[in-house]
Amino acid sequence: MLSIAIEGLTPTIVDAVAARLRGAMVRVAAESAAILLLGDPPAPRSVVECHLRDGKNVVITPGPALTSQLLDDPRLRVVNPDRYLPSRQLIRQQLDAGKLGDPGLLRLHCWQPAARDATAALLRNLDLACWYFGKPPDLVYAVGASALQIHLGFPGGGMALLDLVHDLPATDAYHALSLIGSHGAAYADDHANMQILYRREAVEAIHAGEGIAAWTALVQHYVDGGADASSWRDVLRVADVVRESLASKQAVALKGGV
Amino acid sequence: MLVFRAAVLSVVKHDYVARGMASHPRFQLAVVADDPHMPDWVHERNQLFADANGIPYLRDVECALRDFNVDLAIVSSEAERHSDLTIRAARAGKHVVQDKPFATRRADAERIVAEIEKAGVRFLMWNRNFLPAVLHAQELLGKVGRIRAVHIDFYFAKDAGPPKGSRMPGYPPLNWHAHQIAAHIDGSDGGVGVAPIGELSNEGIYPLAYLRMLTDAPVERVFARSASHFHQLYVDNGVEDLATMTLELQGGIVATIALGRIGAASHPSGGDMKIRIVGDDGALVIGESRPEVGVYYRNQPPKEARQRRVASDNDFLQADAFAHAIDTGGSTILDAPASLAIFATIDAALESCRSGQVVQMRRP
Repeated sequence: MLSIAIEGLTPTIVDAVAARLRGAMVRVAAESAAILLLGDPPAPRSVVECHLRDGKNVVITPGPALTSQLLDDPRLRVVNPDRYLPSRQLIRQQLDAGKLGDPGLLRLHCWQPAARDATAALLRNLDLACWYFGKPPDLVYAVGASALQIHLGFPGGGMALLDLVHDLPATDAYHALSLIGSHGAAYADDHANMQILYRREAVEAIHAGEGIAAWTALVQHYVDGGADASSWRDVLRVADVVRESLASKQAVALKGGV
Repeated sequence: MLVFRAAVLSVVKHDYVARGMASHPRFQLAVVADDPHMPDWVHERNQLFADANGIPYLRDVECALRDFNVDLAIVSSEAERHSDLTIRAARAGKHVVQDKPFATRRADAERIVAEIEKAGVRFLMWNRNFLPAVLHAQELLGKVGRIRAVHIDFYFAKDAGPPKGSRMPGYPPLNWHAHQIAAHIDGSDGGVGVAPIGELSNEGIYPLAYLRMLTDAPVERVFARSASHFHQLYVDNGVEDLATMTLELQGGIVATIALGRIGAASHPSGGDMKIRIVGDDGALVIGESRPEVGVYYRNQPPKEARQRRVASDNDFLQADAFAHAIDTGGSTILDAPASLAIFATIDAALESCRSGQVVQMRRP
């Protein structure tokens, strides 16, 4: 049975994942063949390299440490936690089942309080867009800074609008993702997933979170041999083009794809 | 109370503009009129509306403007005739309430502005800015501080004939004009006219009018993408049924708009419409259809909205503001220069879709 270590998550989450895991046991790093660095902010490059030097298989979430050079190491895997959210999985399943038809428009809002890592948000959301369309974009326009707006055109006419806010003056994040296909659409919006708390002094909207399922699915997917580093080169290239567009204030075509 | 008498200059597209104005006690429909050379279907539709409202139908626009003691004209013809009818009404000294689109060509749009100004009459482009949720968004703006970004989703979850890919080999392309005439029965004839118009031109007015009201900032740069993604009619006629815009506004505000006629299957209640605003001190997420009530029952018709909008006062408030503008000589919620600015933004978006490049707005 595979031994893995999970770092960066709270003990409560790690225990909950461990209790649900099949085919692997969660151990401390020294006793494990694989280290999953799942913290937010993502693990720094020095930590990743240290584990690789120790001969471990390493799983990271996308962040500043992720480079094309790092991807050359066959022991490294990159996972996007957002892909494993039940809401995002459900949309992907509908797409794969052909219920939504060809994706035409992905509309995504990711508003995060200041503490979150901007590079991680950029890479995770670009990855989601490429994942849903099944290919990287061929045209990129980006504008803004702390509120970053990315407009993507995909081969065949699909399009995506990614709205990434890195300094939302709030204590909680807001996420919304809609995917409009030629046969139907799916909407996953925190706006529709709020519970309301009434108290004397104020009314509060409280996010109905997606629980432990995403972490369990992510770790299980890795244990089952599913995590794949290949598409991350495309995502890194698109992120470079986003930066190129921001600097030039022009739309940038990805000639010959990524 | 001074009551304003209106000549309805063609009502071949939507009759909601005329009905909306007539919902206000200060406006009274006096006559329906159109040009004599119009085809039979136009006269039939105009006649039906006149009969339903107990007013005469004239095949003579100038006579209606001259002899019926009217104060204003309500224009809802085919898209390419909007500018002509509006300008003739303005030249006759009548105020004008006009349906979308503002015009189908830049020169016509500019002529409307010039003629309205020259005549000294009031002009209102019919819009949705007084929907409860839009007014609510405006009311809450003060709580989010300086606006940094506005994002608007504006989807009509409606069909427009057979789906994309359904035309059999050897069959002729679908005729735009014939389809729009036939679509009148279910109200999906928003693009009625001889020349095809895509959803940027057809729907774009609404979210751009929201943006204008919420920010009061002119658009400086436009990047847009579009596709004929859902309907064979749009594919055959080379116009878009789905579009996205990134807009850079004066003062550093970034806005995005996603719009389209995305098919009836894509939403159970006509379309997911949202306004999202990010400010320095907070952020807002507004459902454009709210307040709403869920209604579900056995044998419910598939096209009937499951979430029903309630408490809309858009018609009355638009008419009321227009009456106030006439009374005071003030501007309207969407006057001719503002409509031209929106037209120019859509024009820039279409250019961006063609070129794949960012388009700098021309200064007026």
